[in-house]
Amino acid sequence: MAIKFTVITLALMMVMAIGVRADGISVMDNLEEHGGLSLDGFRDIIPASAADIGNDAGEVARDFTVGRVVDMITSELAELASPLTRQLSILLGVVIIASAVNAAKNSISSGSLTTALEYLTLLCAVLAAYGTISGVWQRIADTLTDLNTFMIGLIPMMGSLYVAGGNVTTAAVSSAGLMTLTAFCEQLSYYVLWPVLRVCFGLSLITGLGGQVSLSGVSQTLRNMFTTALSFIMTVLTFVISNQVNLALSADNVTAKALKFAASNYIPVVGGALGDAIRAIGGSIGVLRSTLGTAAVAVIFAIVLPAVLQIYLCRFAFSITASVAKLAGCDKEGSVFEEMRGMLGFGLAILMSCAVMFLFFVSSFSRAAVGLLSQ
Amino acid sequence: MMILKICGGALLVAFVTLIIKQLKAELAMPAALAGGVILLLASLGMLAPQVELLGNLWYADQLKGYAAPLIKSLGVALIAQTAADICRDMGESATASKVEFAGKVEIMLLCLPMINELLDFARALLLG
Repeated sequence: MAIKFTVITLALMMVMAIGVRADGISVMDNLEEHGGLSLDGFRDIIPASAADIGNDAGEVARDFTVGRVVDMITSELAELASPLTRQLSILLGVVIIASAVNAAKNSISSGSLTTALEYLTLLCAVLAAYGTISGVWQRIADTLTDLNTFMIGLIPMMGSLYVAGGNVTTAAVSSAGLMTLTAFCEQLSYYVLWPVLRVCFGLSLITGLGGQVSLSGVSQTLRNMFTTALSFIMTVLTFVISNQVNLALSADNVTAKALKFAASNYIPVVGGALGDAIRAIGGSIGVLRSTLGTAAVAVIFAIVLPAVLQIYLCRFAFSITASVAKLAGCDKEGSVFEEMRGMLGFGLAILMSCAVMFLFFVSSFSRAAVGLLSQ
Repeated sequence: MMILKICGGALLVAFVTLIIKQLKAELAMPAALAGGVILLLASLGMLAPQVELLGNLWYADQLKGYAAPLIKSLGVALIAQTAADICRDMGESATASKVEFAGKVEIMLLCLPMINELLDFARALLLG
């Protein structure tokens, strides 16, 4: 009898000893070893354009401070300053020469020669403007591609952390929703951005070189129409998917509560320790989620920032040039530059809406309650 | 002050043409023509420092593609206009129209590389 009692006591002590490990320092190691939940793969999904942001998720998240953001903006501005100054100089140079030619052409009485000169000055303005804007369009398309590639890599990582935290339904709903959004943003570049830019390009050419016909209003309406439609679609998608994710989170939390209740009350002796272990693991998963979320926000910011700054600076350059052109009496050239500014605004709207949508979902991921921790 | 020389030259041409017209009327027109060409060349010569200034700007290489055709076209238009005016003075309106047309064609020829470049942009944009 005494031997039986000793054996049972020893067995119980061994079981409890195993349970005690759960709140020890080895929880993160266990997660990484057995659950495959390390954030090492994060480095591989960072696109080349944002490679400078850091080497791993922890470092990226730790370094993403206000000071770092200011540094990124400053260095990007410094990098963009030189090409922008060159472009602005070319645009202003063309405007000044065009205004000199316009002034000199007043001394030419022949109407046909005057018309030819007007055509040539306008052609120069259009070419200079397109030389500036074409690089920005390509940058917008590349940024959208980078953003989508990053999100495609991030979605499985987010999903695995949702599952590890006990939010199985949320993982499925969130992954499906984000894949839909990513596919939608990917299609935006091919089916909205370039077609609208092509149509606006044609309309601005007709407006600029076509003489009496002014189609800038049509171009403006087209851009407004697409911007409004896109905003509406994105708002609806964001609303629906975030609601689905919230519902799934609630369902997962109820399930986790039920499981914890069952474990604590029906498993004798070790049930309480199991609850502690689950809470410790849940806390670790919460840390991982926050780290991944913050790092993802930092990478999205690093991907989008150069393109946004370039667009803003280019719009600024076109605004200055248009104002100078109108002051110098080159009204048609001024209208062309205004048109270019409007087209850049459209590109900026598309890029920002995609980025904000992704930022919203990444932030909600890092803030979502871990199912295992629900009380 | 180049303008004083040009104004003096113009008055001299007018005065000489007037005298020649009284002495030998058929030589008055060639004299006026020669004077006009000399004055035009002198005026165009005044543009040289400005063109040189544009060429010396630090971003001249990028600007040259746009500035060169514009300045050349202005020169073509001024020359064609002067030639057409002389033709009209001689009572040759039809020839004057042809000269203006030729000037316009010349300007369009100067535009051709730029039109080509613009079409390349359009092609690249349309074909993605």
